[in-house]
Amino acid sequence: MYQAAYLFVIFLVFRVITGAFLFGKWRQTKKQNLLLLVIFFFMNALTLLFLVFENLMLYDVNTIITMVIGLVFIDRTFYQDRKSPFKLLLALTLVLGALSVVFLMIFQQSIIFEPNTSFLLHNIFVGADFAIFGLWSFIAAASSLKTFSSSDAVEPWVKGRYRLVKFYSICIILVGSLTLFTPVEGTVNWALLVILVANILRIAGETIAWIMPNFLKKYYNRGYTTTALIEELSEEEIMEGMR
Amino acid sequence: MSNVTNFFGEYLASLTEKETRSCKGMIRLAVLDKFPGKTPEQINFNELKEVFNTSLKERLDNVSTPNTEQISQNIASYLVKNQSLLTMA
Repeated sequence: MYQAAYLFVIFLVFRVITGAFLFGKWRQTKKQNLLLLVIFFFMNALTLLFLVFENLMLYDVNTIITMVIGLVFIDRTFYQDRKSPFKLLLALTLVLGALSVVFLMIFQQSIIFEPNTSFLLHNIFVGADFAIFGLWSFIAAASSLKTFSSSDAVEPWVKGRYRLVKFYSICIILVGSLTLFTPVEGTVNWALLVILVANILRIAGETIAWIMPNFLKKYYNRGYTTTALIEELSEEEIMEGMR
Repeated sequence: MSNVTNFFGEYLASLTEKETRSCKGMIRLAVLDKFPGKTPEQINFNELKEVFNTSLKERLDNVSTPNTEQISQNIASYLVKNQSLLTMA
């Protein structure tokens, strides 16, 4: 295996762990959007596997499918019964994805354009897909958090999870924006290194956000006292309190 | 871990001007009416919306709360706006 492949395998392991953890949560709650997230993480792991084996075509196709699942997750989690740009973003993702595949084929066959030109165009389309996904994820999390950020009814760790979603969404946008500057296969430049760091931060952010260990929840909740005393009230007391 | 109950309970308290803990209890009872054995944290968006539109409204009617139709609509709209809490919390 080439050197970077070891790093991709580490990324892959984190994706599988997060996916497996969320699968357990889904089995408990049966909430459909959690299942979408499970599929998103497993598909992402598969994408990384294609990268390990240097199959760029399957990597591209799988990336597009993963993005689509990610968009469906955002729509089902934040935008049910609300005005949503989902259809527009889905169409854009598919068109850009198809173009990236076409230009990758052109690059691999070395037809029509210079290889550098077709690879650059391929990177632009792939990068745009990442940027669209990251931007919508950021907007969805930021606008939701804004509506209850001052509410004491929501525990600080939950707000922390939204902030982590915002954080890793920025990393995804950064990855997408810099993909344009990545060099043709086999070489390394500054953009590739920044993308690598952004990906490490993204994966760390996603893992922490969705697994959120208890010690971190406790850390976020330090000094927070819940006002929930509902278990102490009987049905009669509740109904009486409402009269 | 009762973010959903607390969040919508507090909102119901602001709408009805009743005690917050009674409103939180009211939401729990309304969920139990529709989905026995479940808590607001265990149901999905469509189920909670249905609760707000039916059993919560009925319970508010039973205690002679004024404007129950409006309250039911407002809390359902509030849910639509904050639906992500059902997954994120």
